[in-house]
Amino acid sequence: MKLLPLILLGCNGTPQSKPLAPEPTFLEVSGSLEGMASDDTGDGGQGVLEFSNEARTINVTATTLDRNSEPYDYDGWVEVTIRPGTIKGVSGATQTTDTWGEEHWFVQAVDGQVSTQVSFSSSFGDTRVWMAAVGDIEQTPSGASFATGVTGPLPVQLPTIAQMQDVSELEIDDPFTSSPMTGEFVTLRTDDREVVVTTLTTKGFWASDLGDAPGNYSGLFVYTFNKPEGVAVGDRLSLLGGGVQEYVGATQISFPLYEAMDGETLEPPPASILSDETLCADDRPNNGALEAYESSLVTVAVGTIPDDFKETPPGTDSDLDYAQYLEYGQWPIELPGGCRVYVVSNTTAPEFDPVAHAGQDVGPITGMLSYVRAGGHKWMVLVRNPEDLGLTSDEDAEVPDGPPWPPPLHRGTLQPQCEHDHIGAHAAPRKD
Amino acid sequence: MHSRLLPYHFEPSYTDTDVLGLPEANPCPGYDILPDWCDENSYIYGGIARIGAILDEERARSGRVLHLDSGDSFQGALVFNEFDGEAEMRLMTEVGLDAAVVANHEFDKGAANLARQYGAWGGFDLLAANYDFEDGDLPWAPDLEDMILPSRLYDLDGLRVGVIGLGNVSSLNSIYDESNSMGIKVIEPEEVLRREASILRSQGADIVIALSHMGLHEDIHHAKTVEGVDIYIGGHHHIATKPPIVVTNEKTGKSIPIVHSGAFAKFIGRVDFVIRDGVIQSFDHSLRPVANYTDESGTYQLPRKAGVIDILEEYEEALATQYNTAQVIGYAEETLRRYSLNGGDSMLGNFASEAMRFYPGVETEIALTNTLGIRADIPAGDITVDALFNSMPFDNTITTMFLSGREVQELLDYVSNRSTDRGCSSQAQVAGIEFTMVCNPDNPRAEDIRINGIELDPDGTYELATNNYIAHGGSGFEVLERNTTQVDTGISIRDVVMSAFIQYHTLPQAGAGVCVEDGRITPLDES
Repeated sequence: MKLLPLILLGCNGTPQSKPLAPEPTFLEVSGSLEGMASDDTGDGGQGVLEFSNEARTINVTATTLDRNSEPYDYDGWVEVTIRPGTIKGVSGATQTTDTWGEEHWFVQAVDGQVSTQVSFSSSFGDTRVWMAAVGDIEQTPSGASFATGVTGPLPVQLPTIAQMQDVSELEIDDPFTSSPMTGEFVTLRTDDREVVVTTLTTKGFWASDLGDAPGNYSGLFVYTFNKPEGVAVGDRLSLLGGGVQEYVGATQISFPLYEAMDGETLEPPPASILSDETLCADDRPNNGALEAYESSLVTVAVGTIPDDFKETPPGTDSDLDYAQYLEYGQWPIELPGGCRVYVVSNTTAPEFDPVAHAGQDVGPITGMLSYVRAGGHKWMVLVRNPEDLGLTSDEDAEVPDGPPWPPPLHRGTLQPQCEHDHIGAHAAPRKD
Repeated sequence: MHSRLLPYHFEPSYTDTDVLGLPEANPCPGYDILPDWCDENSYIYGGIARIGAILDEERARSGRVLHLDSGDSFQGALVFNEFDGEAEMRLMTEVGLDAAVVANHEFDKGAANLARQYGAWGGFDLLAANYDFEDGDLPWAPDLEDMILPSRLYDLDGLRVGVIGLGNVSSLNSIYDESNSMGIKVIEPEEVLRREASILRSQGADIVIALSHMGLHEDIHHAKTVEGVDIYIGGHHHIATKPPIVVTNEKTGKSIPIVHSGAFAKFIGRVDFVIRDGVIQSFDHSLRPVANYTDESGTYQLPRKAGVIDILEEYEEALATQYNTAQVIGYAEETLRRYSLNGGDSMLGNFASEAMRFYPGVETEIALTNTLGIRADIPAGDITVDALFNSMPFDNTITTMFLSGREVQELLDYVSNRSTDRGCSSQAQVAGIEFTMVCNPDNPRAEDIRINGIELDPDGTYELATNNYIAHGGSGFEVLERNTTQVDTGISIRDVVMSAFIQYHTLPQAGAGVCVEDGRITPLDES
């Protein structure tokens, strides 16, 4: 049987007609930021607002209209959303959470009129409040027309890397804490900032905003799937944007758009030496403090590879860290503060065998700080090269005095441990 | 004007759980399933009947709606092999699709088949502005020239929506063959985008959508460089963009969203726009999994659209009778993976390659097949005929040929090169070959090549079994394409693998080294 296309009204250029939509057909929406003199957003000469993860309030009114742009007497629910950004509250609203965990806010229209206050945060760029006529939210079918209107644009500055990641307003000791902008496609502020590529890896690169000191959420991983093209360590970025994700606990942007400024390079920030207090609190990782260093270059001055980090006799349970090391490659170090962090060096410094050094002190260890929420919660130091472990490739170098780690390997030589230092003190700048 | 517009996109393979009727005792049927979905409450996912129901639900909670598909509806399971796309065309019509772009898999059984199936069953618009079928010597060309529109203007209660189709080019090798057997003349995409956008605007379009199967990188490039298009809804790379990528057009300064919604009917993308006076004021996007879900109130079973079920059952019965799709041909003690955990050789890749080279009548020293020819894992449990078809949907045959040692080196260098571009994940699976796949963007190469345990001899001669797709140069395997010793055995690779499942029955067999990752391809990522 041959089925004709649903509608065949000529070829290119002859519109296919769809049935008329129910009324109201649209909403005239206006808004003004609380505390602002203007009665409308965007057009009132307010300038560009600073980005903020703290709540702001906008007063919003809407009128429902029919298809002739005349007021339409609508008594039903209106859903309130904001793009981009997060709604914190809507005055007089009914709030629901859907199956996918997303919050929805509904206010009642009376005689075609709506007036409410919308509290929001983490907006950027041209921000607008959406209002949509959704009918009776307690009935199916709802009888909705889904007519929608938006406020004029409220211009907000783009976020810096730190602002995009800043969770200081949240419960930062919660290891599940994620960026307030997770799920958004965000273009980050670069034009008046010094955003520099700090490290390249096979799947992406790290960037830091030099305008914020290390330890202030200033580092970010940019996931490119393959080796990133068109950037090198030290490049200053003129464009950096992407979808904000928490990849097994670490904030990153994916499907990124980025551009390096022609011929303009910057010195990447030096490694931050993490103090005992930054690393550990109450014998466990100090999540809140470490979160602020995520995706930054850090140095852990000293630690001990646990005694039991090795294969156990047949018939006995193997050490969990050792088992995970065999599968994933990270190895633990016990820190003076009473907690453990992990080091990943299997591909970047494969000549170092951590199992051979079980029970020994190691350090300093430098690398990019990351976090993994898989197989437990782990802070990871991702070693970039043998030098980050104190190894050098100079086979002729003499072995200096120092602690028995790392021992002379087949192509490594020892380097002395750094003095233990505190937050804010930086190791020497690295040249990659 | 304020409006709300809801284009959907999915790159479907409608033919997984619904058509083939996988038994519910099997917890992880079908394609590419995410492990998290593989639990007792939500193991059913995908399928055109469920998509049809979701679309009805979405239409009921929307104003002006346009439903778009970014191509590759053909191919994916037994129903296509047997019915040549008839089922897909009927089903896409049944769910009320407005328009689809023509993509590379639509030509899997030839251009004439596309014309025949769409002519018989297509109830939606088929778009591709960058294809021209003007060659009147080809019998199907006039039909396709009439059927495939460059663009279309839709009037949604006064809102005029223009949609431009951009067909795939990169994966249609035949376009570049001297024969160009399908007769497709490709038009430069930037040119057609500007032209069609201009036409649509002159006809009053409030918004212009590019419905593309060119691929993500091409969509980003066009969004950046071509003015006149407001959004790209794309496919081809099986990527789900959540959130959409937003590109600033370098000529207009406008923000242009790019939406890709994955593949295999796992997601439905929804984009909402607010448009006023022909200008997009704001947009929103969501990506909905086509899956059952569990929340505080219990498990929500996705309904199935009744009209779709009726159509599906016709094909399901026919396939079950003809192919005995529920027949058990083996047992998998664990999921038999098509990809390696470390980017090298894989369980299914090794199994299929070994089966190819040892099959009676083939019996070559080495075998190589492209990894993407295996489209799905074999789930743990009984291995059924339909699971095999899901995993190996292509009707490829074994081609044998003789290669010099230097050509083997070139072949594996190419594999390393192609794999470097794909996250150092091997794009080929092999038998009788061991090598280190060096993923170095500046010098991708194969090293330490051993043939059945012996170092590769550049001056030696080796007989290879491969699939006829890459033997013809598919996926860029030019070193195979130019070989003049090719013999297409006509032996179906799927049949060969089925025989191997029956022979070995329970897999993997670690002790015998059957269907296990054994490190024959060692990836070395120097990127």
